[in-house]
Order: sequence, then structure tokens, then C-alpha cells
Amino acid sequence: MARSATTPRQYSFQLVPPGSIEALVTELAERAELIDLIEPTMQRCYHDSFDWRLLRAGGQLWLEREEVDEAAMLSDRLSSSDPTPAAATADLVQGQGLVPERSATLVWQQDGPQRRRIRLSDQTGIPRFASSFPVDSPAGVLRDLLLPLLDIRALLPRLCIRSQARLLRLLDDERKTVVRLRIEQNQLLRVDGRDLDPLPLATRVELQGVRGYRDELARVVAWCLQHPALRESGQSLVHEAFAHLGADEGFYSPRLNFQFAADQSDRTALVEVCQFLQGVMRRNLQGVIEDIDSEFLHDFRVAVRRTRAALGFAAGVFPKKSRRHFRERFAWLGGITGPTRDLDVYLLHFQDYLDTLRPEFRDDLEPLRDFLERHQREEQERLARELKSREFINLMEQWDAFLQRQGATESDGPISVDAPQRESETLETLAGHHLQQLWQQVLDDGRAIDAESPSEALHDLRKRCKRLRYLLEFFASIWTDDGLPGLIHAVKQLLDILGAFQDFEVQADKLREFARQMVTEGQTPAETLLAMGMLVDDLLRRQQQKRDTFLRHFADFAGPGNRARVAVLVGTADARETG
Amino acid sequence: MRILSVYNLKGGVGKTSTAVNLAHLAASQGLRVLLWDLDPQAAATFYFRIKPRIQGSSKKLIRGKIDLEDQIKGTDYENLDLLPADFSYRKMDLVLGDEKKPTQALMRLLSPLEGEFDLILIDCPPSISLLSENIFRASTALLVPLLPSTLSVRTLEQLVHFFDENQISRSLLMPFFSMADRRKSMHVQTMRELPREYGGFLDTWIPYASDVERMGVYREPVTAFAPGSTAARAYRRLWGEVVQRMRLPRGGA
Repeated sequence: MARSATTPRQYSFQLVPPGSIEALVTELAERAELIDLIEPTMQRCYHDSFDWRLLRAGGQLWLEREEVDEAAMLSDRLSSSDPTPAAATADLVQGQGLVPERSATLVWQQDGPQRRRIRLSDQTGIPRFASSFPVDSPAGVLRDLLLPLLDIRALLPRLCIRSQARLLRLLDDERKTVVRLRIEQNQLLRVDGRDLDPLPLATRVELQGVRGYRDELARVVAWCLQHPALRESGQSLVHEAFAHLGADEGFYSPRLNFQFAADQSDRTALVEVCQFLQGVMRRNLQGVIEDIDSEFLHDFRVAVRRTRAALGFAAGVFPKKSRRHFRERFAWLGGITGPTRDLDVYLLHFQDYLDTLRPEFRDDLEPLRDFLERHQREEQERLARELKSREFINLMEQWDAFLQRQGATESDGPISVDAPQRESETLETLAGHHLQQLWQQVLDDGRAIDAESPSEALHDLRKRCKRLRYLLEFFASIWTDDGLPGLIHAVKQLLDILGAFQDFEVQADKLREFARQMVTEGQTPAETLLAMGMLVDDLLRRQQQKRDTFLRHFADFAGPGNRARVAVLVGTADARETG
Repeated sequence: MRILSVYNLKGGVGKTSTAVNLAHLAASQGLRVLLWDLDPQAAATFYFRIKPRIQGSSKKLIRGKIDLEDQIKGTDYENLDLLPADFSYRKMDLVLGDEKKPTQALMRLLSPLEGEFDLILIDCPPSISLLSENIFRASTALLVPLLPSTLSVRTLEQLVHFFDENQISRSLLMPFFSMADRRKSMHVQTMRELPREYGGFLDTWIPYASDVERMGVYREPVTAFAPGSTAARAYRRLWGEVVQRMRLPRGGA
């Protein structure tokens, strides 16, 4: 929704004790002609992706319905014809259409007070995915707004709030509304589908101007700012609701943002990293099990990979036996999630496959789509069983207990079980050591690759680069050099090339494997196999192009610029040690 | 952004009522709507309780000395803004006459609003002039309310003739009957015959209704203060036809 420079601003205040709504309304009525309306009690259900993509983009989407006392309504409707108490007749009237359908309004607001309100005439609610919004329906206008923000993430009901509001319309001498003032009493009712005891939120006073009536708004704002019972609030209602939620329910983000000190203990830093990553796994677990959208599994797997990398950096820090045990366990966890993720990715990119082929061959791929969807469902069910299994639950419990013990300080008493291998060193020392080692390995491996090198050489380089990237991201806060973002960017770029190279090869191999499986499983038309052959050919050709790109790119990557950046980061540690 | 103008050379045929009620209906369905009251009588502006003035004059507006956006006022209805009438609009033709490419001046003025509004409705003055030609050329469609009477036949003939003379496509025209009284045989006859002679007529007709006259008392669209009335229902049907004809999405651009 385009913003106009003349769109009126909205101001939010909280009513603070000992202020009261009635006193506020009385004072305003003494100063201006107003119309005072008590609005029906509404329930607003805020929808967003699991990682709050709409809210991060400054948007809010909610479904609004009038809250109706259905028992009282039933009683009114039936009292003339049937003296049976309303509660007893509630069962009788289900399905008999005696309780009127409550229509809902879908509301979208982004970057300012203007809202798009769309009345939904049926009870089907909001589609799960932005791409599913029917184009030719009233809600279809939101499709183009939401799709770039949500992409493939599912739209979920996140917070449900009961809102009782009083709308004051301040009028001019034409009895035209020139300022709107809304006094809201809100209660938080549900979080992610879970009912709460209604939790009262602060009483909000929202001022909204009307376009073209700036002076009138300014006068009311000035009055509110000096009023002792009003405090300006910069928080939206949703953000205020978060303040009441625990960490597990609050704002989810898988992004790393550790704030470590260079001289802090390496063990406590690694524990913090691993605990954060375990939190990411936990937050995404139910979404993976229910297969809500494919990003849950993606984030889960990234957390597993990062945990494995952290365990790699913990050599000499975490006890050897435990470390070996958990490396094996997380390798198992990575392994069981792989097949489902692979199939997710093939389905996500299926349109790219179609676009690769000439139009006259695209329908020939439909049997492949059916095959992929069927196998994805099977793998998803298998994965869900594994994640509900004792084996997985044990891993999480053991890992949690282990990290708690490793995070305990000396003042908590001697650590008799899982004693660390050595005394803690500084994080700077640990990180510097691994950086130097990994960087040299990356240079050596990369320089050894030429046009004839086997694919495995590039795959191995990719794994090292990933560990390098994770190292830089985990411990970025201890390096204050300006060159760090550039180095991380360079590593990501190299990873993109290597990743594409590996993906093309894996996809080509997988398509051949799928073809064999499809032939074994049933009647697969020859046209489908031929179309898949065309895809394989295209993938291998693109893989070769990526190899050529890598060879050109690596020379720059390994050049003086990045070598100097690493030297500065590593040199900082060295300088301190010798200083 | 679509521009729908409500026009007739003849006054008192229901142009303003049509513009006001359709603007309200469009906005309530979620479209972002601007109603421009170009008639110096300022009836649409009056209905929305807005003072009929702009800061400056029509001359300054056309010449770009004042910003069109700064003159827009919010109405009491969500998604609906109004560009008020001003008494200086009576001189609009003179001002336009001094401009380069005078028949495109309105289009130039409105184009910066692309992206901000889904639909601009123009309540046109009853004249045929340089301003009218500007309106025709800027519009995506032209709604033409007609009383089902002999004089209406004449005004439609004049309009069609003007279009043909100036190479403006007749496909823009959406004539419909307004203030119709089915008890009057002349009305019935005209409503039967005129569409046969001139294509493009909308099927919906708006009945003569006292509720529409009461808009001036309530100073609200009839679709707001009497949504269940015969007139409001007729305007909703009319809007439905307009949406189909203009291929407007229901509730969006």
C-alpha cells in the first residue's frame, strides 16, 4: 500500500493510574464537540509467519470478529417459541442455522495508520499461504502485498486479543470528524492456539488524524502530551503483548546475534552458542512434526549443522568422550532429517524444472511431481515418528543436561562428571586458533582444485567453508575490525558457488535415482523419463559452468584483500598474547 | 488506477448522488478511493461535510503552483478521500485554455496519484467544454446518468456526437437511467427504446427515491444512512455492474 506524504500520523498513549476513561472523556467533551460511540467487543486474531515476517516488515494482519454472547443470543431467539433454557438448547440448534454466522473482517496495516479492511463473507478464514489467496476475491488484493513478505512461510494465528473500544470522533463546525480518538481495553486470550487466562494489557489511547486536518490533530496531540494521565507509547499492541510472554513464546528469530567479549571463557561462549541452537531446534520442532511449512525443517537442520560445527570448535574444551558421543548423535539427527528436506527442496524448485523444459514437454513432468509428493509425505511421516521417539527425546534431554553442567562455574561446586579437558582459555584464543587453521585449510584445498579435480574436492572445500562461516558468525562480536563483514560476505559468495555446484550434481544424481525408482514402482511414461533426462543434462551443464565460475572466483577470494582481513583478525589475538 | 467520471451535460439528473454513493460503496469494499468534486456547486463536498475550498485557486492548481495532494481531505469513511470543490472551478475552462496540450492537463495532474488510489471518481459539472474534454480523455470510463425523458435523448446524442467528432471512443460510455419512475409511461417507453438505439447501457436503473433527496439532510451517502433502502440496493447493483464492466477487482486495484 503506497504511503502518501500527507497520510496523517497516528499517536499512541497509555492511560496510567490514577487516570480513568470516564474522566478523560469528560475533559475532552468540555473542550470539543464529540460523538462518543461504544464499539462492539471484538476479537482480533493476529496472523503472521512463525518468524514474524510481517511484523518485521512493519505490517500487521489480523482477522477481526465481533464477540457475541451466543448463549444470550440463543435465549433471545428461542424464548418466544421454546421455553427450554438456552444452555440446554445449544446442542439442539447446532447445525440448524439458528445462530447467525458472524462475518469477519480482514485488516492489513503497514507503516502507518492506514488500514485496508476487507469483509470476508464466508467462514473459511485466512488461507494458510499467501499464494493461496484467491485472486478474484476481495482478499485477493492482499496476495500481491503478502507474497513478497511471506514467500513460502505459512500464515498462522499467533496472538488473539479481545478488544473493547470507545471511539470518540471530534467534530468541527460542519460536524465533520477531524480527529479520531480510540480508547481500547485489551486482553490477551490466546498465543499460538493455546488459550490463556485473559491477560489484561494497558489501556491504550490511539489518536488518528484525518487527512487535511493537521492543525486539529496537532492541538489534540499537544493536549494529550501534557496530560498527567497519558504517557506516549511507541509500542504497537502486538509488541506490548510480547512483553507479557516468556522467552519461549516471544519473538522468534534464528539469526545469530551473540555478544561475546574477547576475554571471556571459551567454554561459556560455546555453551551459550549451543544452548541458543538447541532453543532454535525446540522452537521449530512442532512445526517440523506437523509439516506446517518447509522452513521449519530448514531452520531445524541449520541449527543441527551449526551445533555440529560448534562441537568441532569445542575440541579440547568439552570432555572428549561426551563430545564424541554428541557429534555422533547430531550426525544421526542430521541424517534422519535429510531425505525429507531433499524432497521439500525438489518440490519447491519444481517450477524451475518446468521452466527448464520447452513448453511442449512440461506436462510430461507431472508423474515426477506426483512421485515426489508421495515420497515427501512418506518421508515426512517417518521423520515425525523419529522426532517423537525416545531416541530423539533422550538426545535433547542429555544435551540439555550436558550444557547445563558445562556452563556451571567453579562457584557452583566441583564438576565431577564430564570434567572439562582443560582450564578455560579466552574465546579470543580459541576463535583465533580455529580461524587460522580453517583459513589455511580453505586456501590449501581451494588452490589444489583445477578443471580435472573430482567433485568431492569441491564438496570437501564447501564443508570447510561452512565451518569457517559459522566460526566467523558465532564469534563476530569479539572482532571489531571493519573488514569482518566483508570477509563474511566473501565466504558466503564462495559458498553460494560451491553450493550451487554441489546442488546441481546431487539433483542430477537424484533424478536418475528417482527415474529408476519410478520405473520399479509402476508405469512411468517414456515421455516423463525423457523429460527427466533433459533436466539431468541441463543440470550437469550448469554444474560445469559453476566449476568454471569457481576457478575464476577463487583466485580473487584467496587474494591479498581477504588474506589481509584474516591476518588482522588473527593478529589481534597474537598481539595480545605477546603484549 | 482507474478514473471513473460521472457526467451529463444536463444538470439535476443524479450525477452527484451517483458519484457519492458509488464512492462510498467502492471504499467500503476495500478500494482506496478519491472523489474529486469538480462541480463549482460543491454538492458532493457538502454531502461529506467538507468546506468547499482549496488553498489557492483552480489556476494555481492547474499550473502546478499548489500541490493537488495537499488539497485532499479525508472523509468520515475509511478508504475514501475527497478533493473538494472550489468556486474558482467555474473559471477552469479559461485556465485550461492557456495551457500547452490543454486537453491533457487533468491527466497530468492526476498521474502522481497512481499507486495511492485504486479508483478516482469525478463528479463533473454539467457543461460541455474544454474541462469536459479533459475529463473524457483522462477517464477510464464515463458513467452517464439519464432521466428517461425526451431531453435525455438529446443530451446523449450531443455527447455521442462530441465523442465522434473528437475521436474519443464510445466504448468509454456507460449510460444508465436515473430518477426513473416506472409509473410514468414515458419513462417506461424511453427505458425500453433508448438502449436499443445506443449500445452500452447498464441494466441497472436508479429509481426516483426520497431517500436520495434526504442525503442533503443527513449529509451522508444513502448507502450509509439507509443501506436497506430501495435506492441503496439499486446503487449497489449499479456498482456491481460497474465493477464487472471496468473489470475492477472486488476490493483492490
